[in-house]
Amino acid sequence: MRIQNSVEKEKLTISLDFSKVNYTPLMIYWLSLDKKQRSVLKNKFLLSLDYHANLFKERLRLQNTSIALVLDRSYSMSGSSEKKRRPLAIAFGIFHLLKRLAKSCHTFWSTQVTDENYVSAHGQSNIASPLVNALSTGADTIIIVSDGFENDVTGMTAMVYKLWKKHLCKENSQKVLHINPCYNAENFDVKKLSDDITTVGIRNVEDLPTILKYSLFADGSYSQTEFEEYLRKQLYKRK
Amino acid sequence: MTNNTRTLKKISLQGFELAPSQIWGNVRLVPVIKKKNTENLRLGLRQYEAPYSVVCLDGKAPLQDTKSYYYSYIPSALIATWTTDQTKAKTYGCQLEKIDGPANFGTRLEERLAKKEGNRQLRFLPLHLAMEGFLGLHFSGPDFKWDEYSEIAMRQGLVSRHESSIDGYDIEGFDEALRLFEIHPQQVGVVVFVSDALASIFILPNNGDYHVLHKMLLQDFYAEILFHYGQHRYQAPNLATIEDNFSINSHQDLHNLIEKTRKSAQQQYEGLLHDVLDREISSKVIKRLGKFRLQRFSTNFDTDKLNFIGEAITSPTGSLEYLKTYQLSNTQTRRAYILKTLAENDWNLEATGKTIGCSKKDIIRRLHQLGFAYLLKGCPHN
Repeated sequence: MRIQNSVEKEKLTISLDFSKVNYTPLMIYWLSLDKKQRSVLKNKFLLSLDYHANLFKERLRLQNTSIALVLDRSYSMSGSSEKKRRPLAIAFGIFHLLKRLAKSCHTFWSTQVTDENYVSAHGQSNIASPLVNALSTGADTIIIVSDGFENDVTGMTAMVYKLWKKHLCKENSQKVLHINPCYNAENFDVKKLSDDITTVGIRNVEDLPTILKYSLFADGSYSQTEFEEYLRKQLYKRK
Repeated sequence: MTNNTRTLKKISLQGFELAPSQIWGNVRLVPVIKKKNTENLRLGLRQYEAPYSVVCLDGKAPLQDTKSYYYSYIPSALIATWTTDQTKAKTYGCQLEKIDGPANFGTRLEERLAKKEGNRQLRFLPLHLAMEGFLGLHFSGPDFKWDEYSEIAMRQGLVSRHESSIDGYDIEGFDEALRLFEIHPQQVGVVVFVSDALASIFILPNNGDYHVLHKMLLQDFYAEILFHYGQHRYQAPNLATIEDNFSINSHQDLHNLIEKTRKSAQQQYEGLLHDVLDREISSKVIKRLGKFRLQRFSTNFDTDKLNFIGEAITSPTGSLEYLKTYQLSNTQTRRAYILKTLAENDWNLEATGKTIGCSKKDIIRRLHQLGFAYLLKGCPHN
């Protein structure tokens, strides 16, 4: 993709096939583009997303699940200087994937987004209010993608989740899952938003199917043997 | 309008909102939000290549006629630009300008701490302006020739005064906190707490300026005590409390609860700032920037309370456009307090002892402890 940029400077053209690129790098590339470049490449990008989503269809099997997404696009999601915009790109990638594959998908950003095809990491991390909005849609699964650094107010998500579970939740009908794209360098663990919400780390959007299965195992609705069986199948497929 | 009516009497955060804080270990950062930006006053940053600076305080020819100098590590200066009408001011750094020549021996020579550069631009060295005011306190020394004072004190006053501080990098976890810290869209400033002790309040006129100057907080200097606070294994508590008796029947109730918690958080931060917001301060206007006034201020150095120095730019209505404070440590306060009391009592040790409530001997002991022994006769260095 970078070659493509330098070629443009030389007034030559090569066209890159977005469907040949891996999904996560494609997201990072897209978020690094400016408005003008985006408007030129938009159609091509959206078409390639459909193609990529199709590749995940078999592995995710979400046709019968309704999903509500809570996406953090706060300043800290801009990543480090080594991996710029990676956390945000993962949130953005999950959003486009689930929008295409789930039965229904409502999305709530931490601060409002005007153009959903282009988001930037800005503002405070307000997770609690979008979470309440997501819960009120009645979706089967609520997925929070956030680095776990909440500041509007710190600890509010945990409090809201606890109260919701106590007063409003009807017999485990709705599941809440926290996916964290930022690993802590010191202990290779991810920061939790709440002790009650299952938190799993993610490195690439490509791992999402495994992550979702793992979350089932982590919250106890999947036995160890079932999970091991799943992993073995995945390995076998790759071979 | 005279200067007297325009000086700052108290620090008031009216017109600002305190957003919920972010906590990183023992560092707590409280964003300061302003709904309406000031457009006709902007502050920009000028980064210096050679941070070690010598400032000639009286503005005369350096190294020849200048009598007083200020030496410090000064990595950057703030540049204020303003307009006198309602047009927008351009921030420093948006226009082309000549680059300074290379510095000599890694040290720079500056004229004055605040210097006008053309009609609508002022360069000042942030916080050093306030610190210089603090160091220059009763700098001329004893006015009366009491027996106890040494020749040096009588002839040259306090000779040289120094205070040491630390920079933001020395506070454990502060750089990490600033990196992870979320900047609100309308944020113009921040209140920094270390182990829930106030380190500094920093407010700018415009949110655009804050975005640029956010990282400058690390280069600023802070009281040494904050280094020790930074070493505490203290986890700043989450101030917002869970309302157990809040009845939840719908999702709307949860939204209401979130709003309520946000409001209660703001009140709690104001509680933490109690020591600053309620203190009377004495200030002095340093420069006029059109309708705006640059001033430095200090508290009365009451040893029972927390003291701070700082500088501010105020608008004609008296609202704060720029604010930067420095919390004084106990020793620093005690040094200022004894100088102030001595000056109030015409440098008579006996009378000073009476004011403080101790004997003359105690005052001499205190002066020795606080590093002012050279002012008295019998000091080995004289």
